[in-house]
Amino acid sequence: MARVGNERALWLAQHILPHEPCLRAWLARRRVAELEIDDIVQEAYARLASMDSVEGVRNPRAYFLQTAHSIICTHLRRAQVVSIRAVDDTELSRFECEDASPESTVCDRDELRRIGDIVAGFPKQVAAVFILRRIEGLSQRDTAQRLNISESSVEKNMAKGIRLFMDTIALSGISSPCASNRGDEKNIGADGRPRKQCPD
Amino acid sequence: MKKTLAQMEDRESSARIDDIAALWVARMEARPLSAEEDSELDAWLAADIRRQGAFARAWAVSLQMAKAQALGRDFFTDPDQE
Repeated sequence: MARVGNERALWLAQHILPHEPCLRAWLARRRVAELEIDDIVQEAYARLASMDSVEGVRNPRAYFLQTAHSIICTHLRRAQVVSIRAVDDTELSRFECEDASPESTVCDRDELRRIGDIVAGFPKQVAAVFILRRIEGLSQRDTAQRLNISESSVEKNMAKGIRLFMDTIALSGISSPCASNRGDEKNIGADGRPRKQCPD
Repeated sequence: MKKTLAQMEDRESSARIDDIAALWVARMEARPLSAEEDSELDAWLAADIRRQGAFARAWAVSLQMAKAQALGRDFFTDPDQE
């Protein structure tokens, strides 16, 4: 088993993370009792992380959904549950989620601001540590000195920040208009049907 | 083979996995891992595919967060001064 490399982590950050709310919404619709959404998401990331190459992935969102679908099928087969219907690529790329086009097209400025807002909403100590480490670029040691806490506490606070951010992405994403459209009224599809599949 | 209830309860929650994945990523970003930590991480990852995914996701999230640097110090009100 290879550990995910920096290059692949960057690809995931850029092309997969923005579609996570979409994937979760899709999974919620086709909920399979035996499987937890969080488990499927983790496994999907694992598969994407361990692929030899992602060069061939033209539509990361559809690929992400397809990967999750295949994971569900594998589990169901293993559990000898009746198979769920196959999903074709057209359906995957058509799945509407108000977020971005399949190419992750995010206004960089909006995305940055959203990231900043999330960080600013962290508990005080977590935000303080993050700002010194990542915004001001201080070392772990200097951060510890500045805040008069131990280095291991700096590390734990950074971990806490990552952890909180992971939950935020799961709930509302980082960058999709989906995440910023808070009104429920907005979740109506072009066909007039409620767009429940993409909860805020 | 049927799983006993105890085994099912023993199954590590995805939230717990995320906790540990975030700790590893924070540690790796702070300093190089010792040889011992390195094999500890490998062993941890190898035991469950969900851990590999959580680790990759945590790393991606951390890279995403680091983009905030472009916002500059002024974006953030100083938590120390509040």
